[in-house]
Amino acid sequence: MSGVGSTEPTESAAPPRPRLNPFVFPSETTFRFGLLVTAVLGASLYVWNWISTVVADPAEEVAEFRACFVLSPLVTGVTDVDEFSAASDAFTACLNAANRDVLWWMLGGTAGLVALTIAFVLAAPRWIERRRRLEPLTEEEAPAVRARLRELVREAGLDEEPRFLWNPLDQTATGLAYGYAGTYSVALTGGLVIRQIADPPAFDAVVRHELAHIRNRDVAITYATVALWYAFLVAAVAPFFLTLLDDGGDGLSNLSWRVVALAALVYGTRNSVLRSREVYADVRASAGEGRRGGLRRVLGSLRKPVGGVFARLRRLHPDPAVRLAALDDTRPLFRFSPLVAFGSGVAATIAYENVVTLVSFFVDDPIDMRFVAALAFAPFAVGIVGYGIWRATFAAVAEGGTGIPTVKIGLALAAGFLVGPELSLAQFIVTDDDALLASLLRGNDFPWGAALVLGLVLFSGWLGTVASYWARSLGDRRPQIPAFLTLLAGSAVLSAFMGVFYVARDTREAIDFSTKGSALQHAAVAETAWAGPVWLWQALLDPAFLVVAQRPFIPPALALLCAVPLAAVLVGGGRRDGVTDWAFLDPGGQLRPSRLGLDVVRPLAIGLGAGLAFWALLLVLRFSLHNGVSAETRATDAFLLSFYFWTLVLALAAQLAAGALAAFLSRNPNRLVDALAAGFVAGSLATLGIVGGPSVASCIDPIALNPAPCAWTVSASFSWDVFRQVVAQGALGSLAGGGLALGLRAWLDRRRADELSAAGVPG
Amino acid sequence: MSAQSVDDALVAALARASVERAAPEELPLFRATSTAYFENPAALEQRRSRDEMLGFGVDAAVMLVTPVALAVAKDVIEFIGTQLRARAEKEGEGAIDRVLNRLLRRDEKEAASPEPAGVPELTDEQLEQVRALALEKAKQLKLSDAKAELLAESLVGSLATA
Repeated sequence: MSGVGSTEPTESAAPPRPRLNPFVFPSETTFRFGLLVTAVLGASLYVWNWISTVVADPAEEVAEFRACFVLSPLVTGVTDVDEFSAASDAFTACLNAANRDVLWWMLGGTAGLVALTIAFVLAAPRWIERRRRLEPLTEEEAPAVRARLRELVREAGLDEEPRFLWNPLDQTATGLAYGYAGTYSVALTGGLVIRQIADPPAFDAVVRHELAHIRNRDVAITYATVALWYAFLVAAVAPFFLTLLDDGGDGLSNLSWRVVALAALVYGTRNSVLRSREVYADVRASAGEGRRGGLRRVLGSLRKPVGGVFARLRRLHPDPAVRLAALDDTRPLFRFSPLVAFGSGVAATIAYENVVTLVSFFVDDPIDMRFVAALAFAPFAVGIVGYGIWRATFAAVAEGGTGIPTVKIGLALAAGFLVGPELSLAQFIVTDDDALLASLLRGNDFPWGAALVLGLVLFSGWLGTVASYWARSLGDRRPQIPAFLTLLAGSAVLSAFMGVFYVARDTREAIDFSTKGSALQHAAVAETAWAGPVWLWQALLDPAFLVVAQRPFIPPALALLCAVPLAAVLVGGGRRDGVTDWAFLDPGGQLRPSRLGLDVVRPLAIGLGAGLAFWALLLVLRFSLHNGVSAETRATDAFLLSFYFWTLVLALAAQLAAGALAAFLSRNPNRLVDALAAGFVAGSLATLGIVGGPSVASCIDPIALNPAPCAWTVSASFSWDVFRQVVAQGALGSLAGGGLALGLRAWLDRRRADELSAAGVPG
Repeated sequence: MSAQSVDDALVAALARASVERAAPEELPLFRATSTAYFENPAALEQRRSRDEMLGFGVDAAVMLVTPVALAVAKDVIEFIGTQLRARAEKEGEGAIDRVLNRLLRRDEKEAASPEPAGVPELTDEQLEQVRALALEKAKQLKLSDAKAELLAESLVGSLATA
């Protein structure tokens, strides 16, 4: 048959390695699509927010807001706390009502985009059938072809046979799966159908590939991706530019490049979704026909694409050489490119501010609103990056490795997080100072940039550790459920990180203001009792820091950070290493995970020891103060505040020491996880000591600060506040301690190696 | 075939005879292909739609002989009609009908019936013109040179032995 290449499988001397099964994990397609949807919807929210301001009557808006400001407690001048609170509530309610129209524009416009997307998806099958002049492929017309199609559907394991249509006049030899659940169809061309007679293996290969798309459940995603792109152009980009025509000048140019960048991101993501699904369909199809089926020959006949980087990004199909290579060895599909991590970071942050705006209509607290907004993006970003790391780690562990390096992935993700907000449409109306990357390029905000990069590098490392611990502990058992659950935990952690980081940076000016107040407080306390250095006082007691540190989602996030990797020990006992059919596409595959002797007891014991040491030191401190400070001084608020401050310092020191010791003595691959776990345990115990101290001490006079026989109690809400503060700040302390210990250990190891080298002992 | 006009039936008969020789593997699908062709002959020359890029990824066309044979046969029949009309002015209208009937009977496996007297034959020169026309049309429709040659020869052969 003309048009079919003559590439034949060559006999090699060594038998090919069994191919790892890439369907063990969900493909990237789903998560890329999810990220695409959230990025587009986020951009749409901004566009319709913008349009609402363009169409609104400025005079009417000003009148509405003036009416609200009259209600403000700052304007009414109330001084009573209850009246102030009531006035504040009335002011907020008035502003929300005034902004209600904006909310409806945002939701309405975005709902329109969604409706248009759905309409495109629903109309796509008819459109395809009409354009391609498809007609049902009947039993009467081609009984042999129909019979073979039934066999191939059965082989593909589909629950329901798709409709088969064809265009006898279409000269190409190709197929197309389209539709959505319940209406899946496969279009065949005349050129393909004739191959069922002239070249059955080639016919089977193409049909298997199309059926594999249905089996991989990527058909609906494909058409939704394409539909979303067109709906985005029609229902977001076009109206946006129309409103900008009035604006003209700088506004138009400032916004245009951002819209173009956003459109490029959506377009590029769309194409990557479409490309990645093809390779997976090939691999699924090849599983049905083996290594030497017709698919290899058909792929070998495809023309090699030409063009540079941009042409490659525009392509909807991968390079045939890549597709062929995946048939030989699926291991490249398990690699994770930092470029993908970068794209995930951009997509996760490009529309983040817009979603925050939407959430602000429903959530008052600025940190909580950022946390909720992050929940819309983090699962998809973690889905892509996390599954990418899991997949690569699984492939490494399968061959005796321990994991993969994640620093580049973390750096790429952080780069995406820096670039994404720069491309955000929201940047049009805020000052450039608010964009971290621009600020960094001007030489400002280095600590914020470093915190973001370090946080995401550590987070990527944590994902790698989780994947490594679990993959090695699972042995020959399937990793799907552990991977899903651990990444769910990872989503929560990333959401917490995004919520805390962005709000902390947003409030940096408030922090400047707040620290002045806390410095005055420190000075006042210092007149009565020792208050330590002012920076330490501010770090532990400044209200601006506390409002961030005491977020209720931080302790669960920290608990997940510690528990998720170490919990792998729970499944490690039952591991068996043997032949596993689920892990390979070909028979004879064998997983070779290296043994992991995870030591959970040691970090927990160190944390316990540090917590108990804190209790002991607290007793000593109380005893010393009881005997060394006059009762009058001990009764002052300044002294009590100073005492509370020093207990916090002691708790922080206990956690730092626990983290350092746990990291130094750790036998586990990731010592920082041990440091965190030890610090968390120490912090929990320290909290018990801090909040239980007054109650216990009031019954034991030698350690009581103020006499009140068994009368002191600490409220539950204060206890909860203390716990959140201690473990949040202590986590930073234990990480710092762990980092120092790692540095010390590395230095000692190097010195020992140098000494051995100098002594002539082979290293 | 019953729904086809006489011209369509004639084109189908000539094309089928050509396909039998040039691409016999396509015969099982000939009927469905010819039906689609007669519903919209222009479809053969229309460009592919962009959504095909979502398909398997094969962008090189595999040239089927049947659709090309149908298009070529259509042109050839029109050419012969023109030629025969010129002769009909000399020999009478019945000459055209006799040729057409002979082609139709061949398709319907009635070739064994007695040949009517006085059926006009195509001259060698006309057959060569038909061959050139078929070759040009087949190449215009992107059929490979070898297959275009084969189709043209098959078509002329079918006419010569009709």
